[in-house]
Amino acid sequence: MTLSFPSIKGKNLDSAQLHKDLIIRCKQGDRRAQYELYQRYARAMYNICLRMLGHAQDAEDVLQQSFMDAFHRLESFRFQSSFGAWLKRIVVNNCINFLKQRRLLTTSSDESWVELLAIPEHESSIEDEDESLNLDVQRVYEAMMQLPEGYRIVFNLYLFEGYDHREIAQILGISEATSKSQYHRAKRKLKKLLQAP
Amino acid sequence: MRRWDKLEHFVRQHRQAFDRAAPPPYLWESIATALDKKAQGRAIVRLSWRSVAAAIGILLLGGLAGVLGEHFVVHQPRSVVRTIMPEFDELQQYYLRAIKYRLSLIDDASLRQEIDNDLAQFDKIQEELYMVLREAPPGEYAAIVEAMIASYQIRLEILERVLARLRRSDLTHGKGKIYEDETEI
Repeated sequence: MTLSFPSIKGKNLDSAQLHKDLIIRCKQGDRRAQYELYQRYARAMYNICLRMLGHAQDAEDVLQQSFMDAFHRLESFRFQSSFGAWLKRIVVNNCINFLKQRRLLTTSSDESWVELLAIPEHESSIEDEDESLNLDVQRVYEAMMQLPEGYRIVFNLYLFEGYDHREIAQILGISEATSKSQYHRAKRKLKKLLQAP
Repeated sequence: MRRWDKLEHFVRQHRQAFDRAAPPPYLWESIATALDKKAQGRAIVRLSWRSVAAAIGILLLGGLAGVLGEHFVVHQPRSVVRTIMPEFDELQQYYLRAIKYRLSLIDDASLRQEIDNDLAQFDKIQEELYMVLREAPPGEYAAIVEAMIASYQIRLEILERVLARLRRSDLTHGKGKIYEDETEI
């Protein structure tokens, strides 16, 4: 175990350096490097868009815009965070903006759009009967897509993208308490869907 | 202390499996084309302050203008493809729809995963072909565009073979009317 450690460490360093070199080449406008970077991140980012937006065509549009934004703003990337986290934030922000713009077309309400899009649950609605949950990836994914938009967004940001409630509150312009309550409601609703035969 | 949650635990354990979909192969091409347009726009702005000097230079070196023009052409692969094969977009849409439809007939999750992985390799090849086209001499355009179409045809052929095998082993859950009506695609 101890013998393999230096080589693993070395490999990680090489990989990090290669990654940094790739980003530097992208900053210089090297199209092949941009393509390589796209190849590394497109799938993960596309799936974020799909989960956030729920439609393939919308996901494609937002993904394209996000990579365009990333390549244009790359000059401002100073390697202070990981490139993946930086890019993910661009993707998430673009998804939110896309949803907000779409929402503006259908409502003039001043209410928080996330709260507006969530359907209030009766407090006594369902017990967390974890044991009876029938879980597989396909079922969870499909059930998640049935969640009201506001629930789905908070649920995704917290559980799939790993943001905490403080960050989600900042991203969505809501309070931390709202983020927490929306998440718990979303989870409860999802469990209810997953308990259905 | 926070209660253990079965759903959260499941999602965290299977996080990678949720990233199942791949972006379509033409997406990179759209990004590259948009980046080219931006780059050209920036180049025009950068050069504007010395446009008078440049104009004089071109007038003086009139004979060289054509040569320079050839070197500075930015190939737009999508428009090159359309020039070589005007029906390309239509064909591409046809193949993508046909592939999507056949994929929807495969219920077996592990087989589907295997096929998705194989198709992802073809997507990569397609994007590479666009990259090659970007830098290729005009004499090679037609062969590259034909290779693009061939890659869709091979994908479709693979799926048809898989479906034929599934039909034989009766795993398609009663979806026996596949291919009877191509307009369903």
